[in-house]
Amino acid sequence: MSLSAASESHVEEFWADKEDVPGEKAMWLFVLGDFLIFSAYFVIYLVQRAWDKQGFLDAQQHLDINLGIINTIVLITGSWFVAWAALAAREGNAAKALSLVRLTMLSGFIFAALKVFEWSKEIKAGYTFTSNDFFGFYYVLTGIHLIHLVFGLAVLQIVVARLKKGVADHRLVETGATYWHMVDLLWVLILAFLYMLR
Amino acid sequence: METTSSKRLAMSWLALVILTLLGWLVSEPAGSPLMLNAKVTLLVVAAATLKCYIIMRDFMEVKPATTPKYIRLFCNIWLLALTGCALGIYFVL
Repeated sequence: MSLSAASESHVEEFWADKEDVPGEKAMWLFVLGDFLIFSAYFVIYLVQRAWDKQGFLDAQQHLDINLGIINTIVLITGSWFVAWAALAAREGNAAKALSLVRLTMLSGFIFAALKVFEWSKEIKAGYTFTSNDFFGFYYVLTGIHLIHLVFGLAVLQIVVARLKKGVADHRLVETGATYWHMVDLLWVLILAFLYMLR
Repeated sequence: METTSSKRLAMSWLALVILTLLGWLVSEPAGSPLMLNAKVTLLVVAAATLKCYIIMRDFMEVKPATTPKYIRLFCNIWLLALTGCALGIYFVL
């Protein structure tokens, strides 16, 4: 193989590789950027916690870990459904993909309802945003996460509208799925850092 | 493009649920006040890291056959760095 042919083949290989990303590249850029932003939030929280471990643990005592666990299972299940929907869309099965994306949205609504219930429980018990540093972080982190989830529901609604027309646009389903998995993954970390750390 | 099978997705979901429940069992002290516990923290962070890895690999399809190398590298380095930071901050500060 000549040098120019070899370098041409490398260029083709490079671009072929880039084309293989599931969903839109712009969504991946957003998701990876969001990972970095949330990392900064987590590091700030963990440093504050390390400076006052016992104080944070005393405040953490008042969180309902059972609700956190239920919400995690709800979100993980939604992620499973939307990953399955991407498979169905690749097979050209728009009806199956539509049902699965709707189930994912249902999991999102259940998560949001449980989160609002949990917040109202904490507020009624007197634990508000200003109660202490731990609850400040709790409301900020879970609040930003909930905003992401609501945005995810809007993205999935766009996917549903497309699937309802009978178009199994696998690229669009993958894009919505990628965003939803990010919401799921960030919640897994929030559960560990806010509810479970000792 | 190689695709993930629905059976594989179901297994991943099951693994995520089991890891979540194990984390809950380890961290829930059944009615007693929460105590500082480095072992529990280590297990909780390890379980969360494994869960994130499963979500990225099987749900987001961050794996050799489906995702470019630069995204795989970014995701793996990000997850390792965050785990390292969490444990480092907990045990060093």
